[in-house]
Amino acid sequence: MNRRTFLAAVGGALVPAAATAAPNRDEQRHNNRVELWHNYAAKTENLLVRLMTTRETSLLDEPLTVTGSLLFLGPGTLVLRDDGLSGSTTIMTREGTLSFANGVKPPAMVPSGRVPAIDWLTDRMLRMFASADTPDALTDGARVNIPRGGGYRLELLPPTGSTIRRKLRSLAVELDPVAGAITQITIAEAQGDRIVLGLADHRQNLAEDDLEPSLAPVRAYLPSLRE
Amino acid sequence: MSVSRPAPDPPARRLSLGALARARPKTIVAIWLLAAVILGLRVWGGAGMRISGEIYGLVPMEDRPADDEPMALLTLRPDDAAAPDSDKLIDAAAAVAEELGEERLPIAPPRAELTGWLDAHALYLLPAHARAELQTRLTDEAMTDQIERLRARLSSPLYGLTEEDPRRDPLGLRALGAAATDVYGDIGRTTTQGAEATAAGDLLSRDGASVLMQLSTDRGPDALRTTMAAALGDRPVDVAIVGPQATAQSVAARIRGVVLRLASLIAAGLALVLAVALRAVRPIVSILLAVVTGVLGLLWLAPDLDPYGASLVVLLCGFGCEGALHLQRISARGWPGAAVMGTALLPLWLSPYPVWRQWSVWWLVGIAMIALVLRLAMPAYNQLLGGPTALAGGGFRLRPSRLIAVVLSVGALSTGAWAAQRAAFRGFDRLTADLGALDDAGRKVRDAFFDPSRVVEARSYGADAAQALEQAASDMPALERLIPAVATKIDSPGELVLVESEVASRRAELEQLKLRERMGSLRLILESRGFRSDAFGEFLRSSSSLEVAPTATRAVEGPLGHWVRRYVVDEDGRVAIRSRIHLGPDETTIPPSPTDAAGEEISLRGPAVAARRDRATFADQLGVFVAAQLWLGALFVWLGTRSLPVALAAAVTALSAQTAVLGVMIPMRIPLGPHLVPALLLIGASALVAGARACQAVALKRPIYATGLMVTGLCQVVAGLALVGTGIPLWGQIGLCVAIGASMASGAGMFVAPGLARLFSLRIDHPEDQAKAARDDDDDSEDDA
Repeated sequence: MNRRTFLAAVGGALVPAAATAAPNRDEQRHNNRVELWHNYAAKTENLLVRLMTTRETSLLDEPLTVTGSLLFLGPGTLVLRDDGLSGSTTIMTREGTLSFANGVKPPAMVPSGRVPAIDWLTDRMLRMFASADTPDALTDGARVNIPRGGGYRLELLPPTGSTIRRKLRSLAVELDPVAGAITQITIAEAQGDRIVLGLADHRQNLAEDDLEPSLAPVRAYLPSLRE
Repeated sequence: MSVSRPAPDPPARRLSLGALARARPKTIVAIWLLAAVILGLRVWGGAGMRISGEIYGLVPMEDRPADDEPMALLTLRPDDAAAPDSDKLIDAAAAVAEELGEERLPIAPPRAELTGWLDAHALYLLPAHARAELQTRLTDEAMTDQIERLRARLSSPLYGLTEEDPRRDPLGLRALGAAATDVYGDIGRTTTQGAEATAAGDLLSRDGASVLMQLSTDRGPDALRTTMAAALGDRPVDVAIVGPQATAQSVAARIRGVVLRLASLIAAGLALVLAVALRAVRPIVSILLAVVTGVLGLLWLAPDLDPYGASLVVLLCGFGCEGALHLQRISARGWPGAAVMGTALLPLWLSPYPVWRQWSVWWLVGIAMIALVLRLAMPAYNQLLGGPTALAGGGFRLRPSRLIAVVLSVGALSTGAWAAQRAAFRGFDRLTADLGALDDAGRKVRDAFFDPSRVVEARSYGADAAQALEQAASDMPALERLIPAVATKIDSPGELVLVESEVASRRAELEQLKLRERMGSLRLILESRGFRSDAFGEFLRSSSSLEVAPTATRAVEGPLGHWVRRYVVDEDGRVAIRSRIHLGPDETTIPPSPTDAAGEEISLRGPAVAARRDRATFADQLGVFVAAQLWLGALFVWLGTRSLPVALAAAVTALSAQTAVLGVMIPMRIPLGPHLVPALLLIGASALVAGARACQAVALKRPIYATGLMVTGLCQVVAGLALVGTGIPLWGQIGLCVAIGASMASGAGMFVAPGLARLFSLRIDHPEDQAKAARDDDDDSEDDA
């Protein structure tokens, strides 16, 4: 075997190896992210986070930015409450969702099963914070895209061609590279609006007394906590 | 079982089919066999039995759904690897719509056209109760609150996913009118199952896996399927046609699929019963051939065989045998039995059920044909080949017990009275499923879109479409009052237009609100709260202007005209708009007839409303049919026996058998309904005949052949069980009812009727009459032999 033949043979052998290595790398990036997420989420019984919400919309001259808190109560209750009367409160549970301006009598809860896009978003957001047995719980049932570039980001997409896509384009999650906590959630709506939820100051598994100040304003609207 | 008989009178003294048969046996048998072969070949060749599959036979003509308005269901082929891709489905629907052209109509208002209409006329279309609230909503304070609330809610991640559209309605004014209609308050989502209107005006299911299209065409389901399949090409989409014609096709195919099994079951069953009773081959063959000839003759004469008529033809085989087994005759000539059986369904000629009206006469023809063959051809056959029709074994002298008769009769009547109040009811609008006609496509339409069987119509008339639409708008308040007690939704273009006479007053009312000035204030409020007022430009412009009103003419001639056409129908030179009312699930609620602004009744039409009205009157009607049948049957028995106690006893026995069946239906979970009326009448006829026979046997001091009565009943039971054996639920209910009832009728005839007759009169019959009847009876029996 001369040198040229040998090099061609080695090259030929490496091409399929390289070809199979490419998807493995994507898979590896995916696994890295979900395992990082799982390291943090697996321990979550409850979670209280400071929240900065920004909505970029053509309705407003400037993006709307409000601060508030995000409260998660395992296994399936999520409360996003803005500070002050000029913000809103959003409650997401498996049974239904509720969204109302602070200081206003809330409407009745919208039971799940009415609006597919709301059901999908609620399910994905509850999965983000709920404790799970396996890392894949974060991405199960969703199409996943891992954007290029720095940062531990994962993009979850509604099923192709589903009616959900008429309302919602994507839901992106950014993880803390060290702890695995979620630091940013970006929701891209079909009409062009973008909502960025910036999460900071994560406090995991707080005692009931520490949760009480955040729970008190919404306790009456949480089916799981209603006496 | 020999009985000593006096010498018969000369047969020439009266017209007798038996005598005719004996005179020319060869000719008669030859004609019979030839007729049987010809009729058999016709059926074999497919010409003698036309199966229609018409499932709306019980529904009054004016309440039947239109044949030329089927729906097409496009469904994505399931792909386990991916969720349904509704984009592919909408693309497929567009291809089909292009191919069908004018044959396809929007089933829902096209999204863009409806949105544009509502944007332009939102304030005009607010209902009266919301107009007072409107003034409050347009004050500076209220508008400021609303805009601040809107801004607050923008921070919720759920806000953009709801049905709210702040660009078109920043003040939430449309919610003021949302309670009355789906179309007005909830653009796009048009069904409670969550299906949405597509841009083209079709309905897309919530899971995005199927699209429902409305068609208006004279073409049949097969032609439509072929056209649509060609338009779909190799797209992974299946097409199904849903509608009366497609259902009829499917039912007809189902019936054709069980014909052979049904024929085998009934032939085998009857042969077995007759073999056990007669123990001779020739009589069995002749009886079966006689019944088959009669039935084939009926099929030749009768109209298309619908699912209801087909069940009667099967029962005819069993009930026709009654005349073949000459037992104790009710009268000397033996005609009352055939008369009672033949006229059993005649009261249904006055019923509101078209198919039963038709078959009440055809049943009489069928029984007459079988009786003719049995009376004419069978004696000739026996004369030619020998071997009389005789029962094996001897009879017994029945000693009627008044006590047993009264106890059994009172028990059965009380059970029936109790059961009649508690029996479940199955209206004729719900029998589609019982006929096995609700296929996968029908179920999908019901589960993912709406239940077509609950949709009824209210018609508003005019000289042209615009006038009719204006009348529909005028009728809307009356129809909306049906929500929520009776209806869940009113689907009518009338809710999108204003009556011409109201436009001016509504405009004057709105002008008082100084809308242009209010919208100016709103613009300032929006800008002061950081909103881009241009984003709300469409709302601000349309709300400032009151020049364009939502009139019927504008709707018919404008972009919504194509959709409005779906509701238009020509009727006797007038044009009608058909508002569709979706009734609620409670079948016991009878829709009241709404009245329009002029005080005239707006009649509701459709199988569902007709069935609910029928439900309300069913018990009374059933009582009338049974009473008429018993009266007619008792009359024939009285004419045959000249004994009122016997006639009365036979009638009470029949009623006891019918009520006992009602009592048995409850534990067996067989629902009562118009489909079972003939079965109950036939049970009554069977009991009447059995009772009269038994009474005559006692009156004439003759042995009663229990085997004979049992065989008669068993033939009827076999016919019922053959229906059960087809596996078609509706036929199963009818068959089971007949099978149970026929067994009871034989027993009641033997053990109840003679006892009751003795109760009604110690002396059942006058001795002279008895002696005469005995002579006649013996004479006639000789004829038969």
